[in-house]
Amino acid sequence: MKKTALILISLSVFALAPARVFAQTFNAQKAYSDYQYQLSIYQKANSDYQDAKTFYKGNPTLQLREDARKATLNMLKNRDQLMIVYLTAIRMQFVETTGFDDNQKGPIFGKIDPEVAWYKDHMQNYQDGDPLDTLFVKSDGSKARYTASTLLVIDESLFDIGLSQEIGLRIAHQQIYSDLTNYINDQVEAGKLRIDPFNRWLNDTDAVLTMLQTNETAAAAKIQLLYTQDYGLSQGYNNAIQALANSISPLTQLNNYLTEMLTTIQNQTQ
Amino acid sequence: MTEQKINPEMPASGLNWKSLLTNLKPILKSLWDKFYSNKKIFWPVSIGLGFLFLLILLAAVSAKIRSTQTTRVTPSPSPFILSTPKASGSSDVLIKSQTKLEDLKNQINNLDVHQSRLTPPVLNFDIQF
Repeated sequence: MKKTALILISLSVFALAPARVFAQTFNAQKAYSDYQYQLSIYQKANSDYQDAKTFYKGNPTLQLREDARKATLNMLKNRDQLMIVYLTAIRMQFVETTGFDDNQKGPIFGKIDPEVAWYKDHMQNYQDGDPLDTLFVKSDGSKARYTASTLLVIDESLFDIGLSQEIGLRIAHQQIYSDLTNYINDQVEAGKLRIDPFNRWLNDTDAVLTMLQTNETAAAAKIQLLYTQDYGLSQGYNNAIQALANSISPLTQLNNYLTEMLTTIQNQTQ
Repeated sequence: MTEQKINPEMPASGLNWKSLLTNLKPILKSLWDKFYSNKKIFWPVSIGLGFLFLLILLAAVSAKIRSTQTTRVTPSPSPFILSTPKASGSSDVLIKSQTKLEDLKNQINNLDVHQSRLTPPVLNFDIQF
């Protein structure tokens, strides 16, 4: 009996192993590929819906109405599925950014996940026998959700991906900056390097880092205006994105400063 | 002693090559005439044999060239063995920093704050007939 159980457990482990491997390989790139695939399916379904609608309106027979109903149902289901896959692709992209820690990522996951759950539930509500009028009503439900909630979550998520990327880049530079500062101090103590001009260069680099952090705070505050103002009028999203774009030039400057500092150290210690 | 008779028509030893050749000649000639007169066989066979000869000739020439090249190979001089300098801890920091900075520069250049790849899909919400 023991032997049989052992064999069964071993077999189960082997059977589950590929599933675990598959789960590990689901990353942002895979999620994006899934999104692209579902987008093509939705576009085809939407095209079929448009054709069926045109045929029915040109010749309103019972059969063409039934064909149009089926095409509409198929398109609506795929539209919900597209939203599920798209939001998942955004989530995975956000997961792979390095600037935000888990505590900072938590709130945005808390906004994406309910959206995914809503579209999953809504997709299940479509019944194969739903008449056209019912489909129209259910479709309006998706439209209302998308406009009132999903779009805001998408905008905030896309913004946060960019912000997290920028913070990640700034932190990576800060690490190099710290290493170089320690190196300079050691070499100055050992009498192999002169502190001049590094003392001034370090101040200049600090100023760029401060500017970047100020930009990050300002941008993060701007994106929250999405929830307090009318998106279409306030252009809150565009303003926040502009704040992110403002950080690209200082990031480049920071990289150039550190590269120059590194080259000077190498030249002086040769 | 008994006298040994020698037949002058019998060959002294083995085959009589002269008579054999004389007998073979007309046979070969008739075979050649038949072969030559049948042009459907003559030309393909002739061309085929010609190609075969050419191939053998080329193979022989290339083999000759290769063997000549092999013999001309001179041994390469013994390489100088240089001891690879070990990176010190401090220079290691500089090298690592340089590599990281180059990588980060590429990331900055490729940064897309608009996340264009993930722009929301165009959805059709106008579902009315």
